[in-house]
Amino acid sequence: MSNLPPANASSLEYWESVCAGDCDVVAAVEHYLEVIEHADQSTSALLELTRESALTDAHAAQQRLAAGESPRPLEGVPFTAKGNIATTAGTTTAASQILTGYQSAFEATAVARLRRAGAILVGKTNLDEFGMGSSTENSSVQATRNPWQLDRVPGGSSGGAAALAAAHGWGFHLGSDTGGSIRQPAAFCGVTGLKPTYGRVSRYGLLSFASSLDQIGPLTRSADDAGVVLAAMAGHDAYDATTLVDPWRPNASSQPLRIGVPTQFFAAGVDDEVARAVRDAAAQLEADGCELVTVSLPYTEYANACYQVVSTAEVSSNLSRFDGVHYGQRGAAPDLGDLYANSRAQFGAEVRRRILLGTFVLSAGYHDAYYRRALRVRTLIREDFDAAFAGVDVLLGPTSPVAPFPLGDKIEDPLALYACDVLTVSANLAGVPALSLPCGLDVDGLPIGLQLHAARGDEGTLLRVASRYQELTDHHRQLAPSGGGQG
Amino acid sequence: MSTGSQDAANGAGVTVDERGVREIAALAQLPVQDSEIPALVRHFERMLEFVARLEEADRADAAPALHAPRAAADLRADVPTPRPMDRDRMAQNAPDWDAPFFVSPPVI
Repeated sequence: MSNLPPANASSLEYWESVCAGDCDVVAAVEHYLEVIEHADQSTSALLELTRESALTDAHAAQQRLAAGESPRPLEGVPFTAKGNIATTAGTTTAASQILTGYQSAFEATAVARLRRAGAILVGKTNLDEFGMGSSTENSSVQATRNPWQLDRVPGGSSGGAAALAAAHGWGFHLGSDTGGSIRQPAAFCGVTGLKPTYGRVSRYGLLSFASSLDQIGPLTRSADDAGVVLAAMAGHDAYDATTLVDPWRPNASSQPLRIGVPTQFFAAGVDDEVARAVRDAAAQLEADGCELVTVSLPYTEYANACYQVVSTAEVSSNLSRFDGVHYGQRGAAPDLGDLYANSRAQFGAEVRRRILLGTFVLSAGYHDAYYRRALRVRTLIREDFDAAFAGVDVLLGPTSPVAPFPLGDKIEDPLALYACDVLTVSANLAGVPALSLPCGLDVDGLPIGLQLHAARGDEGTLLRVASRYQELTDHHRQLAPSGGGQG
Repeated sequence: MSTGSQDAANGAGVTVDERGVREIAALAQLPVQDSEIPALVRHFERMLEFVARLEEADRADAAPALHAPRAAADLRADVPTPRPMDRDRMAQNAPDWDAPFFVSPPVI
């Protein structure tokens, strides 16, 4: 009864084993808790385990199956939520001192829908404070390490989620992506990471960073897993007015696809080895029948500057709610003004830098020169994508210009860290779906990520291409060496 | 605001000096220590130089994109819809709670 699947099994393969009655959900979840706890010892990927509620849910799932009920789409599949996604089990701290001990009174819509689909929450993962960073070194709790090489960063801000996905199969991991925070850590850790179309997944219960850019998405072993998880949590939500009404549909067509290769995605700054691995992946898809087309997205070079203005402006507004009055840690003060200031003094250095820049670009006299201008450039970036998708089905390029770098390498130089996001921010500004999947290892044995973009609303085509690539290759099958042991 | 601004209208040559950082911090209700100021001035200098390139990309006829394009639902009816929230549980996160009030230091 408890033939546990192999450690690198995908969530779907694990689920099939559960459905076939080969694998006991309680035994599997107990084992999964052990392996991610073991992985955490070397990577510091977890903020906490939600062991008690996980085992309660596992027993309930096993009882359903024993009673002969039909398995739900994610029956018994373990998952974690990034620490900025509200769960009623455990705490929701966004890895910020100001939210130490915060226990949400409600569950994010995405989490609630996944649990209704049978998935079992097993823990909360580490992140850069409020999602602001690209290395998970900005967490106020701990820095996470890359399980491929422990002296390297896992990327960020969903670094904890990516490290666990790299360490062991079966489960999936919810992250959030404001400028690449799912895709870049997925690339650095050799796993699949999907940022859905803006509005595809409800943001209700996601602690706001930049509301016009934020999206929740999964980090998984495979593109097929990402599709199942997306199907379970996508859809309109009365608690998030920006959610899409039209449902997402898989692309079941067998028509050959046109893949656009933007010249700007291989511009200066992209490591030669990264570019070579990504071009090799494109060649494999071409050999499989896809047509490659060179395209141009001329405003790509302005995307990161645009992102810095738009995102920090929204940070300044969103994080004004943390004032020490209604929730969070309060700084001692004799009057209300000092209370605000002393409470907000608990923000980390990077969050403070972003609040300050955002306050400046929104301030009287500078609003038009910075914020309003960035919004116009955002339109031009969006039009670049619209023009490209008039002629191709997906766009292909690297996820990150560089391989995972050593811990401490860029943390003292914020602009160097921001440069890591140069290829991922455009998708958030344009609202299009994008996905990172592993396409090989560099000479140091570190993962390289291939990024695909599709038109707004077309996750179906995005996942079709990614799934086909994973049929042709086995990069997504490889676990990181500092993993959680054998399943 | 004291920013050493040369041309606030288009952002060209704008710098933020020590006094400017303090004023922005006050607007943001963020305390900054004297020791932090030089690094923040340098950070503003680098960031404003970095984002100044938006000027060359800007096109006056482009409409500002306030949000991502979407096909969202119609606006809901403007009527209260109670959410199933547990008030007591929410209050547990309050730093100081004297039901049904949040307690803060005096304003005046």
